[in-house]
Amino acid sequence: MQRLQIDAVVRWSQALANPTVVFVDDLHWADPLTIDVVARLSAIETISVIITSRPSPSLPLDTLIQLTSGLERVELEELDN
Amino acid sequence: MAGEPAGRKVLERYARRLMDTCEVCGAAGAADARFCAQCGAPLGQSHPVIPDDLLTGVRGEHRFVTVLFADMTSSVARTRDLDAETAVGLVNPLLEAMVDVVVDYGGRIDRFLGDGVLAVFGAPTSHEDDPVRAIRAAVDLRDRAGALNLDVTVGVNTGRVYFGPVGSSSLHEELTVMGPTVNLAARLQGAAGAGEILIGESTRTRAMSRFLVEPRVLTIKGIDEPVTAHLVKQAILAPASVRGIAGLHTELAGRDSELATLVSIVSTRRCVLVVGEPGIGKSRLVSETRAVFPDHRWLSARCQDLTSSVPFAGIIDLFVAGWANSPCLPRTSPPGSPASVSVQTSSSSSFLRCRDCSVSPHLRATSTPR
Repeated sequence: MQRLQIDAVVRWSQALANPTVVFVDDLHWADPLTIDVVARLSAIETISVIITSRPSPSLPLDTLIQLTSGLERVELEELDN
Repeated sequence: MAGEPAGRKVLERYARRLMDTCEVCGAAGAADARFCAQCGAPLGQSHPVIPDDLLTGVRGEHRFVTVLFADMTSSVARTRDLDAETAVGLVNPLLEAMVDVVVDYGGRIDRFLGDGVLAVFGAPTSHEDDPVRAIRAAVDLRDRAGALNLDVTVGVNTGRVYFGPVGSSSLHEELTVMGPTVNLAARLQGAAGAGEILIGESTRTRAMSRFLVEPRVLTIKGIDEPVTAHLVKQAILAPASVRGIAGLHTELAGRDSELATLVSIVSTRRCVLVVGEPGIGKSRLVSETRAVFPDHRWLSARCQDLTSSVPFAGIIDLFVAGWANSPCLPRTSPPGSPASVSVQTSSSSSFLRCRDCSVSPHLRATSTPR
């Protein structure tokens, strides 16, 4: 059932008019099915996905990294005064 | 009633223990002896010192919490003509609902107060969003009471409290919260009308943008100045990010290379993970990136601590706006068939449902928040 739901979401997203950016904030609080969907969305070539998260160790973050290939990473460090 | 303070009795008992007898052989010991003169066993080892807590009288701690008082409205009138058992039958389902809701949102039932409850969010377990949890619990509680054909009044306040045992450590003590924060929460509950939720200013500032509120100035007994409380109207479905200071806009500084990276990624439709500690500027960087692409369609979602165990909760926002007017795409319909999809959300679940094939909701949450 959940598989079908995720498929439906992905199909819907594929059909979106371009250009689309998906922004998922605070991924470290994501539930497992959200992680699944975000990973699937990342694989859709026509849309861009931006995800923010607090650093590891975080199960959602680590799971997403495992599931997603070609996910680039920007580390925000503290600014110098 | 014994006029003697219980704490002193206990002190004396300890003192007698230390002086009087050896616990091994029962021989009388001397007050300053560390070992029994008769058998050589250490004296007073089971109670080597008078516990610090008896000397200070305080064994709790200061905690920053959100306190919730909820009470059934006009319960005296409603139960006046009922025998006690029937009255409990009326009130207990409400108490049960109160416990359910508070525990669902990660709070602790401090105590029942007749047909009401005192609940604490933030002790012993604290969450980053305890004020939000408390208000959502209050909203749910009001709904649950409504389903039982009852009304509740709720007061919520946030601040530093004493959290620990009170009473007599030897005869009767209770673990509870105390302090002006608690008192004001109780007063707010008292000032709320049937079905109303009143929150203190300190709670509102910590839950801003999550709820629609309406200010209400109250005169509270024991407080000289008028108190501004806020009446909670409803939860905001897809709250904006609450970072930063409302209305203040400053130039983004020192993130030129990161911004260039994000802009390039969006231009080429790649995917990026922005990682950083809280407050480092993740959301800000993304909003600056967004400003570069005003013509793109942005679908935004925010995952929340509160719903991190609710299926699909993190991405539901993505589809709230986007899916509401789009064709139905479940397995049973040919893609693109005209159908209307509705969004339903509650505190514990959110799902999209196609009205034509409602047996197959697109998304459905089945569990409750942690």
